[in-house]
Amino acid sequence: MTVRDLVTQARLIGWEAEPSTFHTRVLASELGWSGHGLAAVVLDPSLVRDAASADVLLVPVDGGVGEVPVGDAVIEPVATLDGDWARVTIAAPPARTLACDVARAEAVAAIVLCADALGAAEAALGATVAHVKAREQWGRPLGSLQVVQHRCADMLIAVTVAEGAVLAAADADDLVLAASYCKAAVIERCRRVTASAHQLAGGQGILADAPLHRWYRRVKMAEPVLGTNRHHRAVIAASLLTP
Amino acid sequence: MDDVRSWLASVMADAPTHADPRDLTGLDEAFERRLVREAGARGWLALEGEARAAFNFEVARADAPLVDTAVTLIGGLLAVHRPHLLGPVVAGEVTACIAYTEAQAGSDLAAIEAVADETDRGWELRGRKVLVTGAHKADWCVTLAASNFDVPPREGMSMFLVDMRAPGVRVERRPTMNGWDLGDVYFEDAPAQLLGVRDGGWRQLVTAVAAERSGMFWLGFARHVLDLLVDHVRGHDDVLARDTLGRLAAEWSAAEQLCWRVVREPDDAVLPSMAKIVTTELLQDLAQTASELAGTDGVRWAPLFGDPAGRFGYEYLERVHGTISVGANEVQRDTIARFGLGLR
Repeated sequence: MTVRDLVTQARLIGWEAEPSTFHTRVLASELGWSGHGLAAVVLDPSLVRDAASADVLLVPVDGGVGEVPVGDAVIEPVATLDGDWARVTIAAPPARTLACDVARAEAVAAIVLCADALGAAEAALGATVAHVKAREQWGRPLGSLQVVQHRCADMLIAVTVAEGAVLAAADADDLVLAASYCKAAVIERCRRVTASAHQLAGGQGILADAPLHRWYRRVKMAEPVLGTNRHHRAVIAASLLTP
Repeated sequence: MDDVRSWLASVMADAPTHADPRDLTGLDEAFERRLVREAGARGWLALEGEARAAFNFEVARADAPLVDTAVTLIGGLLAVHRPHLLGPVVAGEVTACIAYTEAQAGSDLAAIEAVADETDRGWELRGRKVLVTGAHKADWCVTLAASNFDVPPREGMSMFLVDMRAPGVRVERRPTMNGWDLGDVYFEDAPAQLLGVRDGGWRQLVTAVAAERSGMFWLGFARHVLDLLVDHVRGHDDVLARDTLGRLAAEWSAAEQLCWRVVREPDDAVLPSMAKIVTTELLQDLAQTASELAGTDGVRWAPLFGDPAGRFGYEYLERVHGTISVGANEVQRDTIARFGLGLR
């Protein structure tokens, strides 16, 4: 599957914001792993996605990743804002290793994660526009107020810019640098969109049966994963400062 | 675009000896006309679509006086309504200005008071236009005036082409806060030619103004400031400066994708407004951030092509007007909410 295809899928998954092992499967597949079951990838042992439900763990080693049976690790679930995460302590060396380009796989996963955040932001915008058209206060729709219109316009701009950044990254030749440009521009934009959605939804939006918190959580959770915004900004700066 | 870049590098090396801080380009009229003619002779003023967008980006990035050319300002209107006048425009032989705004008609352009009369000598204009870029050096002017008082204003205005050397045309230069001049243009029974459809000026205006908003010039100006910021951070490296540089470069890159989308989807109703907002607000962000990072060096000031040490101060003052001109960003947000989201 091309990165473009993965991006298209991730956008829909972010929009739906249901629990899913999609991102774990994408990362394992980009690392070239093709075994049975679910392989969780231990990039940061303090926070590993889907480790508790994994059949095997993939651990970066020189020139690729090593396969560790889950029985050779201590897996402690960690409560987070969104998703299924655990702290992983590896007790034994990998049973076998698989040669692969870990940096490239991480870059693809980061771009796909941005597409997920984009989908979540698009869903939050859609819900917001529907709400401000329907919700009447002072005898008129909220969406007839210019201050509301301008906030919605800024949300649409943010989503449109994020979309361009994600698609450009998916088509880039240097995926590693492109992933940094993408994540540095997209995650914070999409996070602001989901926060604006809450502001415009008013008090009803914070109820657990309202959908907004699922998008709000989802994008925030994407922020530190696969490189913080600050890390990616540092990568970009280094690339500009190195002649 | 390699040929454009190498030509720009060669001709602009001379620019500081042609400095004129009273012009928006920062350069004297003779030098500007020479460069516009040379660009015309190379066929670059006749470029269209993506090639034209790439050219516009390069000239803005290079500080070249090829941004407000007659092609940019009135080429689209002439192509539709007076194609036989396009020759000297794409050859780079004429300069032009646009005079829509009046003292009482800014965002609400329908409130213009300039009047056009059809006499036995042809059309004649009376009125005063303000905030006109390049009025003092323009050969031609495109303007808007009321031509029919029996209908609502938007159905009763027409566009006109005015020879700026004609009797009845007077320009008063008004210095801006950054040292270069705008112009007030007085039409006192000035002879004019109808441009396009009689009483159809409003519709023509809406189309023409959207074409000014692709954002490629602003994207080019922004890249110039980003380039300067890279140089600055290289000399004053610290982790916070790097973080800021990384942020701005990512923002610039995302804006670039949006600008190209405007070029590739020219019929979209709201993409030009988005590109206008994103690029002009990015430029303000860049100017402020660069001058703040530079500390006491960031508040020094010099005109374009003056002391390079004064550039960030110049940028800080200069980037005020992008978010206002060609339709204030608030008006653009109205457009996006209305036509992009159906809010009204």
